[in-house]
Amino acid sequence: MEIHRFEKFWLVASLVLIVGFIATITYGSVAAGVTMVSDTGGTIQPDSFENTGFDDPGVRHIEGDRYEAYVVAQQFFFNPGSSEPIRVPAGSTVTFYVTSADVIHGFQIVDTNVNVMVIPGQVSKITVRFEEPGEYGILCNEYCGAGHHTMEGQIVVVPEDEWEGGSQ
Amino acid sequence: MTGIRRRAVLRGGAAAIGAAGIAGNTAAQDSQGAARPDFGGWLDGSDGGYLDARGQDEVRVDVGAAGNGDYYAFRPAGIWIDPGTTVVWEWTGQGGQHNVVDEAGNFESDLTAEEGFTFERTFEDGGITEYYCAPHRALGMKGAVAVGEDVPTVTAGGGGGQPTREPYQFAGDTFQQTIAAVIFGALGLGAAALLAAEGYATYRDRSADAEAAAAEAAAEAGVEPGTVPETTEEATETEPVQTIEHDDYDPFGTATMIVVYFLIIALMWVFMYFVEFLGNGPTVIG
Repeated sequence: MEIHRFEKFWLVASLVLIVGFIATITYGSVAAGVTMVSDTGGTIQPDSFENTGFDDPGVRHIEGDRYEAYVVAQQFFFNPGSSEPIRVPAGSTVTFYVTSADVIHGFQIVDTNVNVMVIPGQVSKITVRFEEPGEYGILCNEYCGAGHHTMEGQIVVVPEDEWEGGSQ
Repeated sequence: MTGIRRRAVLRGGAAAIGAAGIAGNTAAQDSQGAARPDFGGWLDGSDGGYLDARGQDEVRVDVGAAGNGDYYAFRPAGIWIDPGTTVVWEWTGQGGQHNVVDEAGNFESDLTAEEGFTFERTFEDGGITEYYCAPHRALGMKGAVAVGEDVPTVTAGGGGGQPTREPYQFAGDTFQQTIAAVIFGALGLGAAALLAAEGYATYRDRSADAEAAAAEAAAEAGVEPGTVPETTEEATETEPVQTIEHDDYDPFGTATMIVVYFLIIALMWVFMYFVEFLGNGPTVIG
């Protein structure tokens, strides 16, 4: 089969493009440190949060700059997050544990790649580093019912010395 | 809709009809044009009805009554009471978690789904208090308490506009959007210009060829060039004007288009991955 030299050029170019895509993804996970969300959060009884951390959701200090935030998503709010913001200190590494009390929801920090599905019976675990004080929106991005469009919340990153124990 | 769900809705509808029957005197008052408080549009579009409870010491309001698409209503939503009357909100246990939040910020109940949970408040001062359920406010789960005689009233349905909720504002980066628009706009224009030039060149060549072929055919048929032959004959097969080998043909226009496509794909990839995905705010690290 005779292949025109122009065709050879764009065959090679498309292969280079594919290799380039794979290379950038590799760069993202190795050099930039972006991780995929895994199932390490485990499972939970969706109708009973007794002694799971979700019976008293909020932000807790673990040690050093490490914090954990338990968030319950339900129709149509995040607890905490919606009626009062999730407060975390600047310069902290926060592991979010998010679960649903009713139907499938989403937990996304707007304009960032922090985005996880929230499924009843499962705990979505996602770790985020907050460097600077600021405010971020949270959205539910899985249609969860008539009030889905109103399901949003807020994360407030406060200066480290102003943090007073989460949102509770 | 599942069977259970349908039953729940039917039950809700029945409950609504029942409540309408209980509040029958209210409806009767309406039809007679009796005055009722003007809630200023706060309850427009909200289910739950209205109850004139003046003369009572205590009024009960169901939280999580059927309405607003599910169990997302206060019933009665609008009440008119005397000063000193205690309003007791009682949770039905339906429709998930509810609370009672004063629009003016003077009171707020716990957020709970517990059946039988109550929250009460005694209204001493005259005026209208607007309240809502925080999770279901946008669905119309709102209520209002009118206290005393010194409140604005209407004789028919209340007026006022539909309260609207400010939509969530995305923090769009206008700089990035502008840059992207400029780049993609320029690329698009360049591609369109190339296509147009190529197309025109082809058209010009074709018409020149066609004219030459027509002239030749006319000469063969012994007709003066430019005049139409009287009989239409089958199209004469003409010799190719020019024959080229496979590698002699250079589709520069196609090659240019493909280069442009590749540039667009590469740019979109850069914007999507490095700007949007990696470049924004906190990143997932575990």
